[in-house]
Amino acid sequence: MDSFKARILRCVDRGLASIGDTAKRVVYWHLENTFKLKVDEIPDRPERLSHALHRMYGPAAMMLEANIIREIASEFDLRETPTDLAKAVRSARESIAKV
Amino acid sequence: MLLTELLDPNIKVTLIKGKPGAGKTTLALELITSYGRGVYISTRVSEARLIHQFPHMRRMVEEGRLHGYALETGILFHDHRMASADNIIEAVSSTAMGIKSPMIILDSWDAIAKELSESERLKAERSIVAMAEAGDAKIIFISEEPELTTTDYMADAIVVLHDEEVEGRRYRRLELLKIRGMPIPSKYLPFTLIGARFKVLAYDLLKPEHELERAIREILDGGKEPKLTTGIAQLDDLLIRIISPGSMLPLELGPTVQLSQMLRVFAHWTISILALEGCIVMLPSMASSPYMLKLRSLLEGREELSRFKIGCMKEEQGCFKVDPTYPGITFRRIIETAKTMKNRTAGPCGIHVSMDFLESLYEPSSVLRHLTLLVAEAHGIPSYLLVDLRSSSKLVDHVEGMSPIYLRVVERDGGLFLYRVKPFSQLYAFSTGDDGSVELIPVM
Repeated sequence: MDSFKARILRCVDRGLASIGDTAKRVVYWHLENTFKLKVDEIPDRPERLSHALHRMYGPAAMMLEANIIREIASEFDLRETPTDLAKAVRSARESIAKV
Repeated sequence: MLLTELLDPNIKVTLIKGKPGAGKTTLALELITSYGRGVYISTRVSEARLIHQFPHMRRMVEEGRLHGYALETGILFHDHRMASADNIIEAVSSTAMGIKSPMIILDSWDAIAKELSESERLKAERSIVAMAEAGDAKIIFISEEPELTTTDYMADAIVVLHDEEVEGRRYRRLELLKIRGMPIPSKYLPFTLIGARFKVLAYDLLKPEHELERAIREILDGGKEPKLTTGIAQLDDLLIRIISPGSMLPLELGPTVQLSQMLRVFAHWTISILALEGCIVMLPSMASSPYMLKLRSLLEGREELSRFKIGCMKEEQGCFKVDPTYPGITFRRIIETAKTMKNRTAGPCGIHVSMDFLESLYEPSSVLRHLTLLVAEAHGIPSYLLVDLRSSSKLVDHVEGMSPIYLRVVERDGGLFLYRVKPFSQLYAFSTGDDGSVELIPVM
């Protein structure tokens, strides 16, 4: 079975699909180089991803964040859609703990 | 004009299109120069080559004259000739995050984008624009793709640069396809690339009476050594340096050229001959006649007025009478008036006739016959013979054949242009300075 981290990272990847592969690679590059956030740290520090997306995309980041939250809600069968990325990851973690 | 509109805060994404050599980079760099800060991201040109081609950019960077912005927010050069779309987007996002409200030029985006699939390209462009908006940046895409692409749909403003020909002479014009939220009063604007700068060509006339007063003020009251002039230094270079007394100077005016647009040339020409203690005999067109009579009235009380004769339909002081029926009589009076005054004056004599006026009174064949005689007589006086005529004149070809020099003035896209048909010259645009001075700028 996939680890929690791997499932969250897949959600992030699918959520960023709307900007295309090219731009997605750049986002990952900036996360690592500009915002010093390694990709595998995202599940532990989702607020940093949120901050980086807002720095890069401004108001348009909300759309990307919403995409990622939707992917997490679907992946972890969350009954309510969380309002921000950090809450979404927390809810996903709690949903696993219940199981 | 134009640059101001493209620099409007609401115009975030501009697309500049055109073939190689059309002036896309020059326009983009002109915009960034006016804007004052930003990044030029090139996929084609190295930094060294760009600085060599546009030396004013180097000065701006080195002297820190970018409207007081600190050097770190000045123009940097990112050489992305070997770049992929990832590098370009990375450069855009880094700039948008690192410099406050920058202008970002992508030269050229399509060189990279054409390697992407259509959907991937659209996503990449959206990403670039979103990142630019997040950093309150203005972004300029430069493209050599003539067809519609995804970039066209995203741009707030689209400018297409055309490099064309007018009678074998280079002519450049800008087509404003779209500028979001603003009316487009003129879709086309003429421009030139001069001294590695982009210049939109505009010619604003002074009020006619100001133009006449200016000619008198500059030449008669300016205290300078008088010389034969048209009031435009570059036109003097094109014309006066290659003529001598006895020469014929035909000046053809295109269908939409107003005679008032030539008032500066006519007034300076006339006044400069009077300043040289010469004489003027003039048969102006119906359209320019009121201006020339006004010029005479402005000379009221001056000695020069006695050397300035004008053709009138009735006997008046300072006039010679035009015979409405017999061209021979009118032409004879022109010649006699010129000869009489020439005998009394030390300077050159100028005869200025308008074919418009002559052809409105007489048969073209008759005008032609007498004009041929006038050319011979003017040569003998000797006298400068200025002949203005419309492109629609039935005698255009004949008049062109009479002189080794032939000038043509045309209006195009709101600009006024002049070129020497014989001997061949490139196209020149009339351009007005802030102080009302006029210059001819080569279109190159």
